[in-house]
Amino acid sequence: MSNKIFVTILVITIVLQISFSFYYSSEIINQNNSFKENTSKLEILEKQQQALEKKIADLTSLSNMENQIKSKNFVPIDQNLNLKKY
Amino acid sequence: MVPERSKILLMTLLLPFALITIRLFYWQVIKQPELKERALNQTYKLEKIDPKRGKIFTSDNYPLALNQTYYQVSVYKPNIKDNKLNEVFDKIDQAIPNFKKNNQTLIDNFINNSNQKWITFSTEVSEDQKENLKNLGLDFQKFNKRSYPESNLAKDIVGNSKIGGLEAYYDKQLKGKTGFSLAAKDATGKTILTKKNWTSESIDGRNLHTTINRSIQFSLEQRLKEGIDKYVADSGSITIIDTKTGALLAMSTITATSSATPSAFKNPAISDLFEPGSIFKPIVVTMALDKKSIDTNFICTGCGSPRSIGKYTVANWDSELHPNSSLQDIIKNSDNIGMSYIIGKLGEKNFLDYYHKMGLDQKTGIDLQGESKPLLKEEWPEIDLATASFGQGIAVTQINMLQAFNVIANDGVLVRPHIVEYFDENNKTIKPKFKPEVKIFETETTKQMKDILKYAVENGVVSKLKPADLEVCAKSGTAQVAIKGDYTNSLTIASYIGFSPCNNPKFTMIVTINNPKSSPWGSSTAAPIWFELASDINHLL
Repeated sequence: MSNKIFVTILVITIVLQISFSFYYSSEIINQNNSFKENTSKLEILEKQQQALEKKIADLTSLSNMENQIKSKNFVPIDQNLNLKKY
Repeated sequence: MVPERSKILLMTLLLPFALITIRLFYWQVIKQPELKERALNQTYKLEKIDPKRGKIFTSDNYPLALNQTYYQVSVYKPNIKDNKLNEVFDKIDQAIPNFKKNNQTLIDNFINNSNQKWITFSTEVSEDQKENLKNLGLDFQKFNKRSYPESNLAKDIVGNSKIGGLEAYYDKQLKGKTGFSLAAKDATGKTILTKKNWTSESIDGRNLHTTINRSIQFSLEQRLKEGIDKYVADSGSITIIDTKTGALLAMSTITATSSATPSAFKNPAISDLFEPGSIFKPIVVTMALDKKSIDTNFICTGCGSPRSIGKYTVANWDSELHPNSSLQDIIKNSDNIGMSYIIGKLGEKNFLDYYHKMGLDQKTGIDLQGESKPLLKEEWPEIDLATASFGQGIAVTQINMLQAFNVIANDGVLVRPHIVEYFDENNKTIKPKFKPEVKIFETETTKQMKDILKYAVENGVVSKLKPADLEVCAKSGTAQVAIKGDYTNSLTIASYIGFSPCNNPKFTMIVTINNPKSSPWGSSTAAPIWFELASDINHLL
């Protein structure tokens, strides 16, 4: 009788251990995947931030503004307006 | 009793077990330390974590230096499908212009040498180009490179690739601290999170927030370039500081030959020594007024003839004589003879005391790499003291001269020229420490000197250059260049120094033009640039 109880407890323990190990290993895999996913998202965001930072710096640079003004062939306003008329 | 055959069977079974046990003991106990180390080396990797280099900003938060990620491309023959190397290189060439042209020899050698399996090219590959080269079996190694969005603007101040300028001076603060990680990796090189990993995080470099005014810097470079072309000069330098604080607003040197290209890193405004010439006269007069060696009613009774000192004769730059000149007229006419009498009254000891207090014999300590120490002779015979009164026989840097002249503008207080306003580290503001301010002249003395300078500007040869809406206190100078101990007329340094407005000035500026060929005089070359730029600054500050 006592032998049967002992074997039953042993079997239950083994089954529980296997279930726990399955559960936690899948949890570890999930967390690992989520870590890798987030790391890769962070890398993409950092790259995007760097690219945007560079783009805004280039667009707002004085040399770019100067080139844009030159390419537009603006005429000074005092050449278009005859202020003496007013 | 166990039968004989059973014994043999038992021995046959036990012997291999015994052998295996002995072998296991050998590997697990005797060879354990060595194998453990080999296993750790294979699974654990020590990796460097590079910090991000700090950025550099202007006073209005526009970036002057940023970081940009680039890659180097590598080709590993076994990774290329069907060994179609030519096709792969054609695709790389489509994504990266001139790739094949720039690497032709390397590519040919790599394709033809069957023993060479791996090659890395030094060509910089951008993030977008890397995206276009996906799925070709290529490898990429990441690296960070400095990017300067304003191109050559303020290049003398910013420096380049850690050589010269702020990049070199503040390299330690900008580069941050490298981190390390010791982590278990799987076969694909990914970190195994269930194993114990050790990480010492990197610390990113501090961002530098400078006092540079981007618009003034831009205007300065344009005006200086135009001036060098117009006056056919070899080069020119301009430095502008905030009168009250010594904060550098703009600084640049442009040479006629390579004005648009970055030069080897030397910033002449802080590293080149020059004899200041007549722009030094107001400093000597202020010293004499402050020491009460003379007063504002001083009349130069000896100015009616050249002054003989030993075998030397002190004459005026234009050979004109101005008998009985007042103090105002000595400055207005830039009278060398009058100045030689004033310094005589001041005396060598007082002159050298003030000279030292004004920092003219030492570096200013400006936070830029490569500042030179000024030169000062040890012996002062009477003729040398006389010539020093009009800025000959002494050698200072442009920033030294500006710091000293600014004492007059700033009511007798010497402030230290500096560029970094504050550091920013993880949104925490850190202020750098500079040498303290020093009171050198009485406020009343500087007020008297300002009146003299204002009179000189409004009644001198430069009066027609001054915009009507500007109040200016300034002085021009033309210094001959000494070559092997002798002054030559063929090389001159024309300069103009001053501040505006005279009371409560906003800025102090010096312009030096090296060897202008259209006219050697500071009043005809450096002064027009000074006034044009002052007019711009008046609208910008």
